[in-house]
Amino acid sequence: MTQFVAGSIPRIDRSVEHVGISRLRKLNSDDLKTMEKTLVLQENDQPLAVLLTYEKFLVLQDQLDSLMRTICVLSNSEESLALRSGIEDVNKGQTTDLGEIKAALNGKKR
Amino acid sequence: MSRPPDGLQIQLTATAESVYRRCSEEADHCISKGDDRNPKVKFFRTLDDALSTGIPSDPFNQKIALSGSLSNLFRFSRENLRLCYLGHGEQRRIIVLYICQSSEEENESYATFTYMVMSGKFDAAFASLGLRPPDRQGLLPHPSVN
Repeated sequence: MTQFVAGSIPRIDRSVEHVGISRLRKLNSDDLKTMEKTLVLQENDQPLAVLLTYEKFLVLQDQLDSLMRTICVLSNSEESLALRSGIEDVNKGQTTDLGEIKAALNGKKR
Repeated sequence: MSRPPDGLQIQLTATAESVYRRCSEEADHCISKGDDRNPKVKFFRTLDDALSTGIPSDPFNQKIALSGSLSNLFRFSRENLRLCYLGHGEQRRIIVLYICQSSEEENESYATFTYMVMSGKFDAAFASLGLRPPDRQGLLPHPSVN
């Protein structure tokens, strides 16, 4: 796959291979298990489908979920403010052990 | 410094601590009045359970990690609890950055992202990639996005 980055030369992704549909018919289970490249299946130069291993798909899925979680935190005003406040606390060394907090709360109850 | 049996040290930032203390006191107040079923009691039990068993069982699970430069941050959610912590795997230590209570159901992130795309926030990015912005017909407001 070629990626055009503004102001730079095109880059070729070595892990992606464009192949014809006939290649799909030749693949057996061993090929699928050991396949290192992602295949873009095409017919008459028209991309039709993408074939990648199950593990690679799971990695992509996890990366997308992680990105979504990050967007969710950063796009929620309450969470993003709390996140900044929490990070500032860490930088100032304002952290307390959970056990100490629990002990103080239990002490109050008595 | 207390450590649970598995050796994980849990610390709270001042931000998280103030929420933890408030939730604990509110729950105690409800219980003292015999109101055990109050949502405040339920929330604190969920929070306490998350800190004592939920998170320590698998604190550095990449499935709850954020991405990119925030990948050492983990976001734990259960019911209406949202909690984010900084993880130090080698030190077996986590620092809870914040604790939030959400009224929304989880797994709203795709809807949030869709809304952000539809709102036009990414139009410039689409344009720089030579892509057309999405069709905006049928756009509905999403109150959680700012």
